[in-house]
Amino acid sequence: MSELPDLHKAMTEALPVYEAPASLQAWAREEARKADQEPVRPGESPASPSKARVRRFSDWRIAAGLLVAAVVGWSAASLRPIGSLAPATSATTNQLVDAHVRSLLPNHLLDVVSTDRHTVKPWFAGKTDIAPPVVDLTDKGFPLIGGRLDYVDGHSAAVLVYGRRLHTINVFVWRSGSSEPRDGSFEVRGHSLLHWSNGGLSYWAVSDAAEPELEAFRDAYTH
Amino acid sequence: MISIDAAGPQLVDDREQPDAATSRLQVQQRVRDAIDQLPPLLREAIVLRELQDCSYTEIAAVTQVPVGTVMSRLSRARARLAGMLQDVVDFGDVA
Repeated sequence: MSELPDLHKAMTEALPVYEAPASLQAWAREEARKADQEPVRPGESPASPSKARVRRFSDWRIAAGLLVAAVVGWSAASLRPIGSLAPATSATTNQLVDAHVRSLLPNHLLDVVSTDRHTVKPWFAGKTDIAPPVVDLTDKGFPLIGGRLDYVDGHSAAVLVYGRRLHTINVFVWRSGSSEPRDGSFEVRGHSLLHWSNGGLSYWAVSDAAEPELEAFRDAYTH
Repeated sequence: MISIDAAGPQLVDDREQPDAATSRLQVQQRVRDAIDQLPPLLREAIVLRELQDCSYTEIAAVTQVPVGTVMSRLSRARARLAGMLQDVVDFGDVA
């Protein structure tokens, strides 16, 4: 017996699945049921839609397009951030998510616990050769929790840890290299990542908060 | 400070080993790349079938083609994927 996964399992593990709205699913199944029950006219292929049915289909053609876009549009939208990643970038994002998840294990999140940016920033001095800006964003809904050192994808990283309601945002900072990936957002295994570069430093914000929340964080952090 | 003796089973790391995780991620990347290389109509059919669990009739209704065309597209999609992924995915008799 083969130990390899079948196609269904391989695709399910490799590709994001986005559920179409229940109403749209119900509609598609109802239309399929109607198509199954429609009598076959003489000379007509049982599998081909009749002209009358084609006319009826035109009423829901837009909805059909929406459903196809919802479930197949991954190539242009949902999967594109991952599917088109260069292998090196894909490795980086995967390691960042691994580091983020590892940080959430008990006693792994923080090396320095402080909500005071004047405590967190000096703490990095002597431990890393970069001085990441430490900004107090409490009034913008992103309280500073602390910081730590980490090692990700061959980089010694200073990590700033912020909160967002019940979510944790890890901001990995290291010196920009010659092969920096493009700025932008990514999604890996249900986690959002946002990358930007500034002042010779490379920033990766990682969280299980939604992408718009990370963008709001970046905007608050960089302004 | 935790005594090693007292910690006992807590010291066993049952997480996925790095080489297994790397292999798994590489397979996933290959599957994504293979799907990405399919022509859009074949990709549409195989995603609806394998990811969304749609029946042939449902795919035919959504894509507005006869069921026979759906079956043909699925067959061609599987054959192309088998050509690219047969060493990492079990395609049964397709390959």
